[in-house]
Amino acid sequence: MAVFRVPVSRYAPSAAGIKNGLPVSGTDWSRLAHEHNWLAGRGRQVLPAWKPDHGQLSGGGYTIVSTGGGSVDTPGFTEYTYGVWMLPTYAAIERRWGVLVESALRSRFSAGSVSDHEFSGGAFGRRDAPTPVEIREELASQSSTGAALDVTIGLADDSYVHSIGCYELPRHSIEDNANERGCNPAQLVSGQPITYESVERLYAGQADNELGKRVLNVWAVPYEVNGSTSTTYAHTHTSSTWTDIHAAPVPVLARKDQRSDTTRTVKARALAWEAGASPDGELRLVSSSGGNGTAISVTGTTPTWTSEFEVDVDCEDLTETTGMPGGSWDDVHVEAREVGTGTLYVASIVIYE
Amino acid sequence: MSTSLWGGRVAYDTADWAATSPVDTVQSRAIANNIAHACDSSGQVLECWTVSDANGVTRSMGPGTKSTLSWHSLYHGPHHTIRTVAGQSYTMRVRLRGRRVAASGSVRFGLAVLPAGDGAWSFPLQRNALDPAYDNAEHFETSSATGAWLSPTDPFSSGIHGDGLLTLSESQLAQCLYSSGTSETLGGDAAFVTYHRVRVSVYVRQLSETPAMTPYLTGLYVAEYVGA
Repeated sequence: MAVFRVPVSRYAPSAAGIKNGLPVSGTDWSRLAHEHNWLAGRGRQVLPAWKPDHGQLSGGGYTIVSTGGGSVDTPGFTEYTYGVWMLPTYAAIERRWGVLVESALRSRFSAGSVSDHEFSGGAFGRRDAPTPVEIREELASQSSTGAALDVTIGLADDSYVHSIGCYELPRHSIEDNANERGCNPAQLVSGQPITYESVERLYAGQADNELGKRVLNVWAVPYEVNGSTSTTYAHTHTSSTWTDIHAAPVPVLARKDQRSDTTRTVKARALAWEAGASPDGELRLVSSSGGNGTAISVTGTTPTWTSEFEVDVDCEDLTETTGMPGGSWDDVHVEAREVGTGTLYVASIVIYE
Repeated sequence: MSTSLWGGRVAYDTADWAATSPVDTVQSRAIANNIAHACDSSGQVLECWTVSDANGVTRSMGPGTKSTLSWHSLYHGPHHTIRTVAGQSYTMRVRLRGRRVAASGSVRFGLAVLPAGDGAWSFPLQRNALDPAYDNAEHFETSSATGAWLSPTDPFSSGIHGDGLLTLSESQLAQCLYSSGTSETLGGDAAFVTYHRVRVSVYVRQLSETPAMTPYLTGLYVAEYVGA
């Protein structure tokens, strides 16, 4: 299978020279192929970094274990599990997790194929601050299908989890197949005919609105502690009044699709569950520009990812200095309420295009 | 800056692009436009979060008085890979939410996008991170004990700050180049991939020696934008 390099930077080809009555130069086509390969192989910020909305978490402490020649301190980790909804790009084969934990002792991280990766985050000193670690995850298979994933952080000391984020590692090369759509620049040269075979991948790439898709916000707190469901950190709702889950609305700006578009529908999924008699909770997205989205019902009694719920938001205006229509922020947040007699718990929300 | 012809994707009937169809100039322009627009719009959201006032990132500002006027590291987010056009990074639209607990006085937050290399942790570079001559940082001030999204300021009257937009210059971007081992394909041959890797850092200082203040970072937003 042929593979083609993914450029480090864009080629930014110009279409200005493509004019009626004139041939399209091989150089123009070739630069388009490089640009397409850059986009297809670039990867996504699959989880924008977020700080979990909770305070200090308790660690498991150290225990002294006797050995033949003395003793060693062995950390007893307390495991906190966050649920996230992953939206991978097909071309991605590796991810990089970034985790920032303020802790005087060791911590550990598990997600996907990463199991119990130990690290030290550090603590604040006069000139020091906790530093993030970057953890490599090799994927077992390629997919562009959204799926739930657990992220577990084990703490030995009482610690603060300040940040979690994840990006897809850009590809070195992408393959010439219908899924990765690597386009061969060598087929697009001056003096040679442009065949359907040579531009087939460009056709597919330019029509694929998933390339460059944005994940807009993650809000997640632990829904399991040491492997058991926990309501300690979840947002809790017993009232029929809509209540914000985010501490404050977060900025949101979607991609523009076609030129006349001013809004785009964005989606969300939540990890939520109910308890008590007659459980019936509701969630909805609210945006400054689009108002209230359609509510979705939560009736399950174990932590379960909801189906998608939506709201319209502003899309990027490429003629504005800031990209924001009229220079104004569009903010979005998620509201929840209990319409039955139970209790609604929400532990994670992921908002995406 | 935007590179597409029409600032949006041109919808096209894919049936017109069958294997037996000729490729004419109109199609060529549509393809070029659509790919350029998809790349222009591929900027990602690197950081986006808010937390309640009590759960913000906080730290001691250090003993004594004058030390409180120095910049203190407050938050070094995880690493990100960023989009580039010829020569520079995509612009980054930024927002910061914060507060301070004190009897009086103000704190200033400095938000910077920096190379993520190990050497970047040294103290001198942290100070240079907020060099007013460069556009990779924005500043925000507050005298409120209640968390709120803060308006960016231009404390040095540099003319390049206070707009809530950051850009890494060509020379700064060169420091962000990073190579990592990977595979050419899933389970395939070993390969190295080179990309631009950054981190988002927040620093804080008091604007007066006394009283002692406790800063809280309660929200952050950093998103790439190709620019108008």
